[in-house]
Amino acid sequence: MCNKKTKHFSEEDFDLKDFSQSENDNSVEQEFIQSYQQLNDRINEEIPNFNPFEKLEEHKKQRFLQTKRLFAYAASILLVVSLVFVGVNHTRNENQITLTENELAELQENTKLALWHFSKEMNACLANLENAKRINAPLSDVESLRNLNIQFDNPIKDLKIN
Amino acid sequence: MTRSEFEKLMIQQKDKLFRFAFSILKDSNDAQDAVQDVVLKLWKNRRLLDNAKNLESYCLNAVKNLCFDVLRKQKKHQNYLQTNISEHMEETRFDTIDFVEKLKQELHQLPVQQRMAIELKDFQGMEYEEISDIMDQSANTIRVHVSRGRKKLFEIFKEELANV
Repeated sequence: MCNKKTKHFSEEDFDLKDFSQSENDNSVEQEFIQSYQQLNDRINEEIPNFNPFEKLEEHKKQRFLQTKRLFAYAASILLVVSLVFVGVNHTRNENQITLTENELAELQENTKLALWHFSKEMNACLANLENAKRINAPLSDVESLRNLNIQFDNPIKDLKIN
Repeated sequence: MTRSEFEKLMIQQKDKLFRFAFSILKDSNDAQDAVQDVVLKLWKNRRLLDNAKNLESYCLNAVKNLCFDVLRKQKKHQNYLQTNISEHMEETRFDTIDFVEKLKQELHQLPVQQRMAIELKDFQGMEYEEISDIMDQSANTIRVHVSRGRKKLFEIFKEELANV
């Protein structure tokens, strides 16, 4: 049935590429191999013209959108944090200004009062010192000026000013 | 591997990858999806392509692995025989079908290993050693797959010819 020199299609070592060069005397096998080659051509013709990069492009697009979304999200968070920080800072500054104004008014009042009483005490001390000099009072009397009592009606004598 | 090199390689291999995917999945849309998925996968791991000895084999191997994953997910393996039987019954009704179309249908009825081996050996002209790397089987096993597949197709062809 078969020529010993020729290789047959079903043999493992048969190579379709060598078919054109082979001299196969089996007409059925020849016809089969031709159909087989036509099958190969037909399958090639039926290969659709598709874009192999479609999913890759989609993936890249999605990745770009994700990055964009991430940046937008990070920016919005940054904006919110900044706004909260500015708001808190602003409130704190406002509170500080209110307190300073009150304190300032109080301090001004206290300082005026303190200076008035201080000058009054100072004048009394100086008058006593002048008087002691004029009458040539002994040194012990002058030293006693140190022990001069501050008037008890001084309203700020116990005031603690930080 | 640069982007342009990668794109060039994929454009070169596109049809081969599709044919191989189609020989496993037997569905044009699934095969296209598989090739697109493989391109995406290879792009993500394109550094590995630089170390690949044979880029063609590497890509075909990736297609094979992905197609088997698809089959596993779709549980097509389980329904495979049933599908084949129903397809076969439908096909026999066509009396006027040409031999090439008949061969094509019979090729799709072959077990997946034989189909893959025939696709790579006869249609893509690869050597047994290369196919062995792709299919993770010995070259001798591949030879057996090819031989058995060819024999089956030839027997069916002879029967068809006798019936004419």
